[in-house]
Amino acid sequence: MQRKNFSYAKYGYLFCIPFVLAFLVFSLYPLIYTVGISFSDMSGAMTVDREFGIQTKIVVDEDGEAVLDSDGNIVRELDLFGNYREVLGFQTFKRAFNVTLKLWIMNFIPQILLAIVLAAWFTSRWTKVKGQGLFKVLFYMPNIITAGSIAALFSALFMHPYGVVNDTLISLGILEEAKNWGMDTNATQYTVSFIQFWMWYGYTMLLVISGIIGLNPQMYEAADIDGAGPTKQFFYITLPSLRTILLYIFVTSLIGGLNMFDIPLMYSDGGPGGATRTVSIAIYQQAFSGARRYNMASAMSLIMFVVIGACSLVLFFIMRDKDAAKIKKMLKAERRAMKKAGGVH
Amino acid sequence: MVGSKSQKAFRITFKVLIYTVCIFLSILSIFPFIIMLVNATRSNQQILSQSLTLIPGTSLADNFKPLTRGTFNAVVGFKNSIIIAAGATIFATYFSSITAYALTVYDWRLRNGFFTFIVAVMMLPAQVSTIGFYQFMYSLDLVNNFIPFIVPSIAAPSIVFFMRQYLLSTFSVDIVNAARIDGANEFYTFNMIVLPMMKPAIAMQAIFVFVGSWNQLLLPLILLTDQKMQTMPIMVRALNANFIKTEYGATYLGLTLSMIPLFIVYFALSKYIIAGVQLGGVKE
Repeated sequence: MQRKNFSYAKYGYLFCIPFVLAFLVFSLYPLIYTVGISFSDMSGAMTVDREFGIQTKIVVDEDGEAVLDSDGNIVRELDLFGNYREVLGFQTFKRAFNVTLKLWIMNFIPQILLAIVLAAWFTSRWTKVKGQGLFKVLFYMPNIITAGSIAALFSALFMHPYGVVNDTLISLGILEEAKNWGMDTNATQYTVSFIQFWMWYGYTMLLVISGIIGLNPQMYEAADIDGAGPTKQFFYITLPSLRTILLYIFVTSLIGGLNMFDIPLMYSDGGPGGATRTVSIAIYQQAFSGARRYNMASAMSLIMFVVIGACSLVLFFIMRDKDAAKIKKMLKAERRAMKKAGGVH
Repeated sequence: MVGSKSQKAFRITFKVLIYTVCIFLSILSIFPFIIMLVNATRSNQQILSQSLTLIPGTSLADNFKPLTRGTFNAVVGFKNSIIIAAGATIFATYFSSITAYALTVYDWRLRNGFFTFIVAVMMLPAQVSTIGFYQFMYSLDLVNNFIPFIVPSIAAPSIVFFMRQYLLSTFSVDIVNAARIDGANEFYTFNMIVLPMMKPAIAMQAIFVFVGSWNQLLLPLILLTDQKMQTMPIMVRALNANFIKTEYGATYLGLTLSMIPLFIVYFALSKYIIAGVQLGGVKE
């Protein structure tokens, strides 16, 4: 029996080869390449025979003037972290980072609150909500639809001067004349956050519901005996028990939020005046428009990588603990089953 | 525990509140799409004079005409999006299944380390290496090619993770042992016996991969510059830039076309999709 097991082990390696190869070529190598570009002077239009090297800077003397060599050329020296220094002092990047966080917070807080309230209603043992299935299907629906198309649809609805929103507000008497929503910084930020919120609260609600369903019913039986009502049970049993899933939602949403791209790009193109220019849009604009500064874009990406990596690390430890517990349980069950079978080994 | 009158009144008020909120949110979910569908059938003139109505018009065919040429070519976009999404789905589900299988059935030395690695890289968004990916594809001359959208989906850590959980909870090694006694080789056993048994999990993940691939914006935006190769979301971007100020009906129709496959998939499979979200919570 044991010898057989031995010879099959090679298939374990064999069947993982495609995954490993694809990962190395399409995930790891591009990442390392991005690191390389972030230290380089790669910018400007691409041509086949262009060569790129490490980023350099002009050497200056005590008076702040460029040093010239004997032929009268400007002397440059290697400056490995030049791009990073520039990005960290770059107003556009700082602003984009703040905008990204602001847009995420503005959508995440209402999203998680509404999701928890809806999940509590849908799982309540006192009030059975009829038509739950349909509500879930409708609340989750926007999440499946192309974010870019949804953002474009909203930009059509908010069009100036003859959009649906303007028409409606005027006919209701709220607005006197058509408002150019796209020029209003706050309105644009609110709308982008709203679209994000509208697309994701259903998803978050489903996760919270599955978390509540997975809780141990015995806890509630005990609480019933102690005479705790629905509100008390929710705040003292349900919410504290949902810690792990809420943390999971928080971290994954933060990671998604830090990468926010489709909606602000398609709704307002990062505007007006950078009010919805997230870090991802700033990276995209650095690399693929105007000066095509791939090196700056890469340095920005890697700074985000560090931030996101730190978030993932938190999540990794949560998930690993959960999984380790599961495996332990399984091993135990296996041993028990073996004992029952009468010790075949 | 006989409910008093005030308790009963409270309960009814509470129920009214719940249903009001739920119905309001339901309307909020579908309303923008309904406006879009209705306006897709109305002429420019009608939309300009009154943009909010639930009565469809008769200009559907006229609105379609501008969408068959120029930057928004619905037929081409559809074809490209389907090829990419279907290719990515097949690659991601097949190779994730076989990787998950290797992680559960075989006992090899690096198995646990490999699994830990998969969990570790699961949450890292591909977006951070976009620049390197673009330059790499550019140097391989794979700009305006579908390969960068299909082949990399072989390595999909979150799907491997899900498939492994599925196998652990449903699969018994006895089946493999029985096949071995019958003389089946390992590859055959996986393809002909294990893969069909994984159908429910594969179907569930397939939906999410397909939708995720269809919805991609950033990579196609930078890698598919040739109009003949562009996907629907990229064409929507062109639509957004070119038509929105002139062809209102066509804009709404173009948006509708970019979403239609997703509506079909969603309403046909919503039961499984909702179950899938509640099971895994895989955010793509």
